[in-house]
Amino acid sequence: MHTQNTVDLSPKSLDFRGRIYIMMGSAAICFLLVISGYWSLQVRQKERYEKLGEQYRIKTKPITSSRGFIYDRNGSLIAQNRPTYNLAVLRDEMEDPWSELRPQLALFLGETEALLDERFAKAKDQPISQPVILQENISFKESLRARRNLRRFPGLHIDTTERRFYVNGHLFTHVLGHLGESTKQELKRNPKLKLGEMVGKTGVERAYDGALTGVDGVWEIHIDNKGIYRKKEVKTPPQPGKNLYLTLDLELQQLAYDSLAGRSGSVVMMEIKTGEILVYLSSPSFDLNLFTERFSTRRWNELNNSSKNPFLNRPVKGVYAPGSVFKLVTALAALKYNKITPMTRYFCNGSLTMNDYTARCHAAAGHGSVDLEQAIRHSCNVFFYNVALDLDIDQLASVATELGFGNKSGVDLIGESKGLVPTRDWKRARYNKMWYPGETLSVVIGQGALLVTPVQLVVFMATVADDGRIPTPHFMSKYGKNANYDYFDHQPRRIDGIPEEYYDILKSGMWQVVNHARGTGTAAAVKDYDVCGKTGTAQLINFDSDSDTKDKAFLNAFFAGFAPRYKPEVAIMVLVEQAGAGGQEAAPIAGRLFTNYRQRFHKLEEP
Amino acid sequence: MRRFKFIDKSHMIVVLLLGIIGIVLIRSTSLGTATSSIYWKKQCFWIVAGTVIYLVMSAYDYKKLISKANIFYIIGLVSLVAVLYTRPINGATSWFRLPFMSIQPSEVVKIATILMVVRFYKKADERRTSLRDFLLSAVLIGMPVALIAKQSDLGTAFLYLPFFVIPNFLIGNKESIYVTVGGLVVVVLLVLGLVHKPDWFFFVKPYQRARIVSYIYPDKDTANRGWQVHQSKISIGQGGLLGQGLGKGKQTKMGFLPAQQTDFILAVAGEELGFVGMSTIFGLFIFLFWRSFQIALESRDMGGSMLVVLVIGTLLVQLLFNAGMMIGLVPTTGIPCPLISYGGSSMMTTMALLGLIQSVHNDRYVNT
Repeated sequence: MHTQNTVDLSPKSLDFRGRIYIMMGSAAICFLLVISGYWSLQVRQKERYEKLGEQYRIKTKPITSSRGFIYDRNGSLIAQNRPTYNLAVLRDEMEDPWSELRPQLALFLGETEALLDERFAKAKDQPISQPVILQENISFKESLRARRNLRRFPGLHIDTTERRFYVNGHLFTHVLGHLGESTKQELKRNPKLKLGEMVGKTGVERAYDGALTGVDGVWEIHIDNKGIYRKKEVKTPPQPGKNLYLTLDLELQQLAYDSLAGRSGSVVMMEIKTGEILVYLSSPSFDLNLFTERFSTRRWNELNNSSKNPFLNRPVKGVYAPGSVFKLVTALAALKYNKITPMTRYFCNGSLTMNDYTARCHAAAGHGSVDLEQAIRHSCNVFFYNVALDLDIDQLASVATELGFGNKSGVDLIGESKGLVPTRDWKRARYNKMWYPGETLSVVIGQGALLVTPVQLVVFMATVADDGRIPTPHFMSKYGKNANYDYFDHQPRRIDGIPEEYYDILKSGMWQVVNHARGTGTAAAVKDYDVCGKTGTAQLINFDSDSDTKDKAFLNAFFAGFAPRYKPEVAIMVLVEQAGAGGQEAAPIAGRLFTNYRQRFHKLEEP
Repeated sequence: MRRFKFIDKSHMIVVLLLGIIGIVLIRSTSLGTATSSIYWKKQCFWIVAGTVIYLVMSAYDYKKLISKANIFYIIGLVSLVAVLYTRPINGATSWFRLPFMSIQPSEVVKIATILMVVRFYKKADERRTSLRDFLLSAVLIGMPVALIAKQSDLGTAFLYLPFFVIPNFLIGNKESIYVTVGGLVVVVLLVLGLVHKPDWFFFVKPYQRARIVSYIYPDKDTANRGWQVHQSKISIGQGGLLGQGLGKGKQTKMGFLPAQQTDFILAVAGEELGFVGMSTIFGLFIFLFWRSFQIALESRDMGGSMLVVLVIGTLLVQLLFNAGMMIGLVPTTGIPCPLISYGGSSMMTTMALLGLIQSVHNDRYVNT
């Protein structure tokens, strides 16, 4: 009984040895378990843990790429970049909470706490690695002072970035446009953008933003467990944006700018065959660098509230009654629909009375009996009033539309206005009223509801000069220095149904406007360069028909033309707002520009 | 000292090899970092000192030690109580700070406890074992465990657990086995239930549950407790098959891995030496334990056998728990890797324990 329950404790006993073997087996199983755990981690999941490790060790930061430079057609630099210093805080490197850092910084920077707080709060939605800019565009000296004190305020950071700099900021204001921080809407359109990144807002900067913007590179920053930088290397180098060569000509632009001398208006000069724009001026302008520097609220309000509206991009967004320049369109329409022939003559006694309404010619005494060429030369209203009696408004509108009025010219700027060519349908839709024949009288001389943009006018000039071929105006072509880029390659569009003779009659008339002793635009004449053109003096209000004294302030002066008469090279459109007669105010400017163009660009005919 | 002649050379060579691997790894953690290079030099000293203790132990008759076990045991308990009145280091009162070194009594008391357990069961030799014996032994082991737990050194206390199970298992004390296994199953079920079916444990407060979950699944709480394991898993995972090369570990060099020289030394090995290196280290340990099991089997004295198996038990649990916690298999507790981790007390204790095995081995040749 005793032996029955006694355990044999001798090491030689089978039970005892068996239990040791069981323990050996269990130990082996435990080892197997642990080793297989290591196998799983090190062999099967290696890549996963490598990635995880990088997340801790390696942080990436963008290397901002520089924006492409912009040159004029001769390679003169007109837009470049300059270094700029912004004082910022890095929220992920701050050691004290903002509430403690704020008063120290306010003291150091000499700003109010409320202002700093406001700027800090603005970055709330941005990722935490994005620096919060407290002071923008500080001077180099200020940046040095901040740099010396960086250690006193952990998280303080000097953000060295590039700022756009426009060499002739006031010259190319509207065509270049400006940059601004991207908005949420723009982010939706272009998902590659980052919030707050500088993007083109207007002009060429916007239209060619994609080409000008480079691709940001990536910094790879190796950090240790305390977040201290150990190594910093470029993972992907940034690709700078492309440099663009515009078709603009700095010298001509400067000449146009000087000629307008700050008066409101617009000058557009374009090569006829190619559609390359040489001059694109909207006046008054302002220094574009105001947008990249600290734009004071006072200065902004001053510009924004100015009655001269300097922010308006006149050549493509300004819409005007073109005045007498439009008579050329009327002439083409009347010829096309056989309402007149080149021989048709009307007698001008100074006015035409229709029903109870008397429409007057600008020469009170009248021009006598005039044919079409003479009517163009003198800009005789009565001749065209008589045409209006036969010509239907819809016929006129169809020709005007075909010539590009009422449509976008296709210029490579965003936000171009279409202008307005009134028709019966338009009036019914707009005012729910029928068209009165009296209204046609206004439209044929370029008044009334008609609205055109300066660019449409210069394209029209090129169309007349080139016998019905409509070029597409542009600032960028795929030819020349932009050859590598696939930008602009539009063939001119040809207008049907208007024979070349009709253009010749117009050209003859336009040649006389400038070169005939009694023409209205003689101020545009250039020696040895057959300038053709048409003046226009558009009324901004309806003058009392009996009033003789017409205030200059209510007259827009136009001159549109081209040169030379044969083998035409360049078309122009000059508008001086609220200045008076086109022949006196606009034509001399055109003359000056033509002179310069002839000297520098005109190809002398081979003997 | 004629016992030296009989020493098991392969056992000793493997012990020294593992110690040298430890030195190399500790050296590697100081390469290219701000970590002081004093650690590997001190570890060299501990290995030399440990080897001396190993040899002294192997030359000494373990039976004499067992007979004096109660004295060691009482001294041990006193030291464990005394250490509670020292100034805490990192929140634990586990160290006696001496001018040249710090002594961790909870490590050294392991030896006394093992000897005491063997002494206790040697007496049980003559009579029937019972639940009463088990409970008595539980009190014997439980006292140091409770004192060590009071130091907030749960890891070391955990290493005493094999002492409850192994002797009873070896002598076939069925009742104690039932109680142990049954108790373990209940604890495991309770913990699993708490983690996965919190609804059933409405009486446990949420923060208490959170604490337990983070203890069991440190990966779910990478911000605090889980951070160490998270980083050690990354280090080991990055090592791949062949490792990054000695002194070239990315995660360890950048300082993300905590306690590199001590508890997490195997993560350094994992990253720098890869799976091949880890397998080599495990292979050496497996050989060491296999040899020790052989010694236990060959011993003609039941006390010697039990002594060897107890030493194997505590070192095995220590190694596997340390290796397992590196890869998140088991909860993180402050357990160093035997023979490899930096640390004097641990090295001395481990060497002494392994020396006892050697002593049992030599005994076979001496007392013929």
